[in-house]
Amino acid sequence: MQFYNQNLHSRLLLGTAGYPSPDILIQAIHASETEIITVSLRREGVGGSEFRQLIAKTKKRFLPNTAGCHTVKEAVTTAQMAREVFETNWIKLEIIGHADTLQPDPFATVEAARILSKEGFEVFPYTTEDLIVGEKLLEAGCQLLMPWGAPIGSGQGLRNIEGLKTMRQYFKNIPLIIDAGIGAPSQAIQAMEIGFDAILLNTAIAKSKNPILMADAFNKAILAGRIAYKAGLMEKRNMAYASTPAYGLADLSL
Amino acid sequence: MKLYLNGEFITTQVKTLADLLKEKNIDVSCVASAIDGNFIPRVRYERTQLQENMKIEVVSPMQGG
Repeated sequence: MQFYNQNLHSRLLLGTAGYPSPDILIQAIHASETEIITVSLRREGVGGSEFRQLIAKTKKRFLPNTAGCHTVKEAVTTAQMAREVFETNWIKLEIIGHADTLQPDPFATVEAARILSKEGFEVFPYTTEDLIVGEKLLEAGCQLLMPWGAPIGSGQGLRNIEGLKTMRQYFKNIPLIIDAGIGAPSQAIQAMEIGFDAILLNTAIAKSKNPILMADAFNKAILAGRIAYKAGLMEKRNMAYASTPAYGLADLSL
Repeated sequence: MKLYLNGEFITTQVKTLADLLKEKNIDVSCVASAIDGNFIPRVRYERTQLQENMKIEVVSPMQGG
């Protein structure tokens, strides 16, 4: 699997926010076997350099985000600052349309994606399952898409699975990452089984009772889902169908 | 001169962004800055002149999802 020509083995991208302690965060990162961790920028003065030293030890690739941005200008400036601090062209472009729903603003996201792509950024856009928005993001220069499963932090799983299946079929050769809304390993498996390329998670691991164990569970779930997709699921039937052969059944009637 | 640094109204005698960060003991190697919403690359700190009421934001790495 490749994101912007980078070969990757793990299909789990892991957020770094909301863990009980820095030590648990580091152990969860290792247990997840992720190769990409998401990070952010906030006002200096609350332990920024310590956090950078902490995560640098993990040797993972950074995917900085524009979380909290509501306008094109805010997102572009945040991306520019992130590139300087984290020394990467990768940016998780997240422009929020409403503070309560945290639904992405597709119009601003497309505009910012166009500006950032021209400036040499490799954009990971947080979007919905809308096909036309997806097309516009690709036209703007994105080489992958990150549709939501459900609203950020909600843990509801794949709220519109039929729409996501359509998206998968429509964008056949584009890497698609489910970003946001996954709450349980079973939901991650479901996304992988229908052919999504990867899952971006944070809260489901950070807010579980044991983030290190849960990171291990998600790692294995995503792997299992991927293998199941490659194996191909059986066709669903409306009626029962006996799996044990009827031929040779003993006649035990009186 | 009075200006805003990370949302706080401050008074300073220094003239450039580089000197302001030095005055505030901020390690420039692990921060990025913006003035009035525009990104200021690190290489321009020395020649970025401060002006009255500028809104300066200095950010550093943090946890994120």
